[in-house]
Amino acid sequence: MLHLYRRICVLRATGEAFAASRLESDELPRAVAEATAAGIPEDSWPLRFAAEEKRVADAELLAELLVPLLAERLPWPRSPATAGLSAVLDAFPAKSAARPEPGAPPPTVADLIEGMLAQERGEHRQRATRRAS
Amino acid sequence: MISATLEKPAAPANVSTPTSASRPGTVKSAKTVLVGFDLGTNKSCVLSGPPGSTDIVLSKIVPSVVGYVRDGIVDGIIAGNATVLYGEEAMRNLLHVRLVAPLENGIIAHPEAARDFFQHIRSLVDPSGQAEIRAVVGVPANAGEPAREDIRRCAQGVFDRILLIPEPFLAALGYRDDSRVGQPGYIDPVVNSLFIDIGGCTSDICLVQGYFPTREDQISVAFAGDAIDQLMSDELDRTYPNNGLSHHKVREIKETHGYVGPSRRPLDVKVIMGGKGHTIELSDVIGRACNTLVDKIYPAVTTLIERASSDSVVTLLQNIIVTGGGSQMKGFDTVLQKRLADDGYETPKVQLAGQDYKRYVAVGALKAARGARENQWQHLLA
Ligand SMILES: Nc1ncnc2c1ncn2[C@@H]1O[C@H](COP(=O)(O)OP(=O)(O)OP(=O)(O)O)[C@@H](O)[C@H]1O
Repeated sequence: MLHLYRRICVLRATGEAFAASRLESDELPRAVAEATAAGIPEDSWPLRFAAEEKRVADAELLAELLVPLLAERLPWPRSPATAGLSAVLDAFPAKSAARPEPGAPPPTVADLIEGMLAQERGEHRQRATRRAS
Repeated sequence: MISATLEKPAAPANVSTPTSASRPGTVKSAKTVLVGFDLGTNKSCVLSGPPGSTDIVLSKIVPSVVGYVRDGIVDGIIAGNATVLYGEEAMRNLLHVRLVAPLENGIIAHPEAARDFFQHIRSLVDPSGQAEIRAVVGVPANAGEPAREDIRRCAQGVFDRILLIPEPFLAALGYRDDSRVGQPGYIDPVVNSLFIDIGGCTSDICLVQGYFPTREDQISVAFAGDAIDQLMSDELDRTYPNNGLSHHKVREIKETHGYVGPSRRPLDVKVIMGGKGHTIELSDVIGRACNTLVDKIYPAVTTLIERASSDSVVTLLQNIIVTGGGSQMKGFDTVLQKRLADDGYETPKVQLAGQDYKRYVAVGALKAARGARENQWQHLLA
């Protein structure tokens, strides 16, 4: 049940708003009803959901910090052995690598290219997901 | 669909070290040539230089046309009996060639001709044919993946490595005065600017804010130089039926006298009609057509300004840069700036890119080539 909610949060964070809202409207109410029937008090859900949201937000922040470092060090393109990591890198394209925070030092040309490539990887990934679904 | 790009791990070597690559499929070479390539519908601009320096070895504007010499042309008519001519040479031999423009509306429309044109560009930057060529090519910010893939495919076997980067970003990078970056009062166009590129077919307005513009950051308006020519022609035909003025002549009149803003009467222009010289007063014909441009692009300009974040918008308004052939029209900057100010935008400042506007994309592309990391280049299969 919490696993399902976490998945919704991850989908939202990776730009899959449509898939997230489908799970939220189709599957979540059923899972909540089942869990409540199993004796978990209904009023405890908001707190549990908030905790899951925070976990995903923390993971997103960590990925944002790690992406530039990893992208710098990993051979390009990543080997099958690092394919799992690729998925993590691709999950946060535009925000992490493309748009700098206001007041941040100007990015180098190479940083900007990295941002563009991350954007493209994100678009490829979204296209592939759309084709697969 | 088979991709033209071969992704393989690149050694983390600096490009200035000798490389083992060479012209795809030929002898190995130690020389790398970096290329900044603005592939335009009408004209292309190419700049090249070695890695690890700021030297520019070649800077050339080439009309984007390929001329295939017609069968049966007598020996000696075409220099060296060439079968394919490029750019100005193709235009000079119009009667003897089938002229093909590889691009239409900013994207490749004739792949064979595009490939031949790329080959010509390669021969300009590397007459020996032995160097490894790494090219950064400008693409319209709203170009989709198929258009990008077409460029890669045509460059396959011609260049060794390639990077496709949105044109407005390259224009900002080319326009940027690197010696002033970081100085107080200098607003880096790469970090925060609005580029207005008035071309032949379209006017492209693009937000450049420190990251590569995406499709949402650009609005393309289907009104630009050619549409102004058409408006002028229509009005001239109404006032002077059978005037016989060619499109080329009308365009020339616009390029010499074009202006936006209040009427610049009297504006007497000498033209030849029916073989006789006439002086006609054209201030209103020219003014009305050119002023339409401001009306057409203004909503796109304000839409993009409103898309900028509240933190960045005041600085953005100080850095509105007009480029492209249409930017040469007198008064465009003043009129746009006044209109924004009258509408309440905070102290807007509109500046013109100036005479060098044709080269900024290629200059930016060469800078990008010099700044790219080894692992960011895409390899092209021979
Ligand atoms: N001095 C001038 N005054 C007015 N218009 C001009 C002037 N010089 C060039 N132009 C116009 O600018 C247009 C061409 O601009 P530019 O060379 O930027 O186009 P392009 O990049 O080849 O076209 P596009 O962007 O549509 O692919 C033409 O309509 C030309 O007549």
